[in-house]
Amino acid sequence: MTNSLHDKIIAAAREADLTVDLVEFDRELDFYTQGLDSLDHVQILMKVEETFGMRFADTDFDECNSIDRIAAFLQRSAHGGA
Amino acid sequence: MDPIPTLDLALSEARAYVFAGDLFDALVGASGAAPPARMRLRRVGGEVMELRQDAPRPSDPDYCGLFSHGEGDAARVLWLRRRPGEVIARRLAVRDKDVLADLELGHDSATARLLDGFSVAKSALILAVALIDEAFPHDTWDLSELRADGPFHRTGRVRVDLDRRLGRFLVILVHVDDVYWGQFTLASTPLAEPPA
Repeated sequence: MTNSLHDKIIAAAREADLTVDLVEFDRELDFYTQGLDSLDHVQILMKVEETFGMRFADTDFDECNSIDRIAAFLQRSAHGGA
Repeated sequence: MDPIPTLDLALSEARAYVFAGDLFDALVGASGAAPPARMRLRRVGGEVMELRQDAPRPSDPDYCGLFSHGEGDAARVLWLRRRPGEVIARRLAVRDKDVLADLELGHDSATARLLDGFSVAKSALILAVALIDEAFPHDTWDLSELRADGPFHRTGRVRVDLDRRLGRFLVILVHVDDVYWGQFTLASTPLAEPPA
């Protein structure tokens, strides 16, 4: 379940037009440490929104800055906790 | 590898930096681009920029942005690099107010009629500036990305809509005669730098 969720997030992120071609996303590291910039970050979030049919709130931006943290956010949302 | 096109840059109004609409037009002119096209900007000022066609290097201290156009096998990516100390000398005579006609400004949307000789990108950006000045009179916004899916030149009526805020970004959608044309993403502060 978790792997599937992470894989779907990574697949969504790969659809975003990123500044840098990442060979592999590190799930734990934040996007900036992996060489991406804040515009890459917002585009990843918008692709995740398309994939999962949801919308991040304005204030979710800073929290959802890695694959792991997006996954945790989505799992929390699915249980009504976000 | 194709020859590197030269960018014909000019300032407009009283700006000390290249207006994103003028830069996009210059990029299209230099590259012969066809839609879709995408322009990403970082640290654009009033200095001369050159187009590069080797692998983009966002960590280059003089990196200014990225321009990509076309699809599939015809897709091409160029990047912008400033030439420190070389200031753009040319200034356009045309004023922003001359670019649009019949401007209607609402709370979160603005429309105007496109005029011959001006691109959709430049016209819509001028319209977006008017809308943002009205909606966020105390904030400063810089264009981070322009996406143009539709033809670069059109007749008809252009509309810009404030779509959403996400973090410090603002997304504006652009339609021409109610058909989606593209979108702008603006940042309230300069883009965070990736590590060198």
